[in-house]
Amino acid sequence: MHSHRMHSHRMHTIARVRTSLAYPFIRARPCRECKDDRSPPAPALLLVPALLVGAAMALPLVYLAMRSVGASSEAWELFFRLRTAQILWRSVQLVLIVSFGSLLVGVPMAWLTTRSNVPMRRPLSVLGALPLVVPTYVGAFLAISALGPRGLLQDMLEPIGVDRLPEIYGLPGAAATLVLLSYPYVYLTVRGALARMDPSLDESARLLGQGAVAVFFKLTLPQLRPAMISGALLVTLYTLSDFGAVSLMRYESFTWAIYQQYQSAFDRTAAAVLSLGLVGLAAAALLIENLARGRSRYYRSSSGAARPRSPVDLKALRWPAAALAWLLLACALGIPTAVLAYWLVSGIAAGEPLLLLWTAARNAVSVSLLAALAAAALAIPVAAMSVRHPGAVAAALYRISHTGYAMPGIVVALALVFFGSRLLTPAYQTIWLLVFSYVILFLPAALGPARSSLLQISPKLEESARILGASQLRVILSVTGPLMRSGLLMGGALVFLITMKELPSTLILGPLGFETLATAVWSASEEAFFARAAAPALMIVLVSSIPVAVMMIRERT
Amino acid sequence: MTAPVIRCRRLTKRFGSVLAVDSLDLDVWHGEIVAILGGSGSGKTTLLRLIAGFELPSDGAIHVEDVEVSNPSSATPPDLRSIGMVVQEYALFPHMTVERNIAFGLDRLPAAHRRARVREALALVQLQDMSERYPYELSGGQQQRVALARTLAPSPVTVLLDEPFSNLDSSMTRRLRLEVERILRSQRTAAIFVTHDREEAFAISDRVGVMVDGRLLQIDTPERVYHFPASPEVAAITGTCDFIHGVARDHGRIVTELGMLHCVSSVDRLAPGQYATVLIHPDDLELIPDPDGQGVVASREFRGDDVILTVRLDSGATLRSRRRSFSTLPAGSRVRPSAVKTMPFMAYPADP
Repeated sequence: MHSHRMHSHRMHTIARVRTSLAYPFIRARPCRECKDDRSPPAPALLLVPALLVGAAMALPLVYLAMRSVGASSEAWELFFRLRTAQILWRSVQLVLIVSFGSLLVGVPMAWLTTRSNVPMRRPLSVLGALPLVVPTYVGAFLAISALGPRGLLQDMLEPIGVDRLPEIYGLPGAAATLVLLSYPYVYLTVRGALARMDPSLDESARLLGQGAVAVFFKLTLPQLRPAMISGALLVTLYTLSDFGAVSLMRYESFTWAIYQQYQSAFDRTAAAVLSLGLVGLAAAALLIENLARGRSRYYRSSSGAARPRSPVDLKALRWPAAALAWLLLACALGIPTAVLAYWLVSGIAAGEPLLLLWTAARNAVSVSLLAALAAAALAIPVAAMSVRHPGAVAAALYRISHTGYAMPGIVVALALVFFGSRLLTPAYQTIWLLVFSYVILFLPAALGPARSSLLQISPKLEESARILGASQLRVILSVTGPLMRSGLLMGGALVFLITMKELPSTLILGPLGFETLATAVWSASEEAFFARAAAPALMIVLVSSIPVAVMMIRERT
Repeated sequence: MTAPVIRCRRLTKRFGSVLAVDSLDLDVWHGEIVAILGGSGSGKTTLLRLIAGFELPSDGAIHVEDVEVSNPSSATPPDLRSIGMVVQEYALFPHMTVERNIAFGLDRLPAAHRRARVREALALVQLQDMSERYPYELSGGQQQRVALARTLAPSPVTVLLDEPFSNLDSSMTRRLRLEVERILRSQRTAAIFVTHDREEAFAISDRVGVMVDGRLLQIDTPERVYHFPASPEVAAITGTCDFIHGVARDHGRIVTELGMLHCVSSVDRLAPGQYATVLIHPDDLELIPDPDGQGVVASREFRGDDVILTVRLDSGATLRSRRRSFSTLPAGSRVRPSAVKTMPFMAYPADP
């Protein structure tokens, strides 16, 4: 019996690979000239919701276009003034430093936790992803409170006569904070690629006389290139759209400049025109990524290889490697948590009230859950169009659904203020418009896992259901949906934790008096009430750690 | 006379510039099992997908029990055609038990009726004890029987089977295909199955259609497509075959190197004096050891059940002969070959 099971399982894997390869040749031949190629068109059940999602996603772009066409010459003058060039240069510097820094930290960390025999590999691999849940404004505020002027460190050093610490504000502080908190994007994508790589390639290289180090540089690293590039792209877009670290560190990059314009000027045109610069920069990053991938996008690591691979023996280097990894986690997670706890305790000791916090926590969890549910549900039609009905329409929809990646929260929020106050007045100043902005921003995070889980479902399953008499709707509800469940859960969890810490959209679109954990931290830390910021910050970290930890533990290494 | 269960007329499917199915006519009658035999890329799977409704024809039409279900401008969706299909990889729903898989197509029945039908289907494929298992807990053969039970449960008018045995190891295939035939016959369901394996096609079908490059070159009983293939192309697909040249005389006789052979032809009549080529199957060629014979055994391939001897004639032509397993003719020995058959040979017009 046992051998039967193994056998049929293997056949299933083979069959699945075969169909997923054969399928595009059978159906996906968009050919406009030859009318004879008719595959059944995409059903309205998918097409209509997908088109609606596409239209919603296009709103920020439409807004920017309208604003810049209608912009006065003064606004354009502002755009072309030297200050914009400075802002641009600052943003580019920050992006380059943070991307390279994240690669330097994320790739070794991923390799250590998947391929080596470093001590305590399991806890390291789970904890390695957790800095993702620390919002940058929390990280920045902790760095300032600990290392800034009159901070914890200086307090401690005062007795021995140190009264000045190196400047933390500006580029160094912003870059260090962002590297420590955004390297998990590289770490997670590279880990995924390492896990999918075929062990027999390494084995053949070893048999051909290459040592472990040579194998890493000649074989592993080149194969990781696509994953490294897409991880670095995520870091780049995250950095560009980041608002918390740069504003607390007083580093004037685009997001902060836009927010200042929005706050100070009554006319929003200047903010919109500056946003155009930011979106342009994000678009440039996407373009560069596309060019850098080049042919490497066609690298395909073979699937199915479920054979366990033996880890690389680091021998005596195991201990220094482990020490470095723990040092990283101490900086990104341990010290922040400790400092937060310290501020929390001293806040409570000083009689700081915790009452308001429960409303903020309830608000944060409920909008994040709504955003996660909506994003996961809306990801289904877009993913299904791109996987099952490829063609010009599906490709356009898929691309436009990624607007959120290139659109910093602040720009999306401005667009929705514009449309909300004019066209959607009933929704304006409600949480629904806020949730809508989260969906625009974070749909790509739900789309990725949804799409890859759908790619693993053979279309034959859906066809078999159809020919057994099931309607389109029933196929989605009883076959495709349940089989996509893990992908949808994963995507929803990601959206949940990103939403928990989202700041600019929440600040701009939240109804009057609507407080979430994120806004509570921000308003306290902006006024340097460290003790008051500690409790909500700690709660964000704890609540969003749960889905990450579950995700990492479920993933088999 | 009633209408055929499936009727395809001038059925054509183009993918870009590739003609996957080319003006194909096919009638399948009640209770009949039809095999479509062809190599990969012959269009046989596209034909099934057209009948199932997953592809729309570029031209032509499909009728199911006299109702038009597909033409180039409109098509009945697959769920309303009352056709069943078993795909190569079975496509059992991995998140449902065997029982729920089988019940999937029965959702319009009242619950009690549905349970009874599931039990019937399980009994039909003799998997009564497996109803609570998940697909991954079944062997390949069991998965296939579940797929068949799931397809038959809603009583479709026709079952389509796409390479139903290609995922199973060969020792199991023979037993399973007899089992599948028994099940299909007991339900009197018409079935069309496509395969690249001629043994499989011959073993369980009433008629075999030979498909090459999207065209149905011949459709007839297994015996007739084997013994009287419509063209050398069909012959190459339906059997191991060699050809020998000859010149036609009157009354269907053709003079060849192996003597005078009685033949029928793919054309109405071969005119006396016309050049022809005659199909010789390995079973047709007798070999007698003879130092003065006009052939020599070039090689022998011992296969256990039989042995295949390749004979080179003095003219240079090579023919194969199937001998019983204990035949001891060694390679290199001289033989006198003769073509012997209780029915006419098949001849085709040829260039000189």
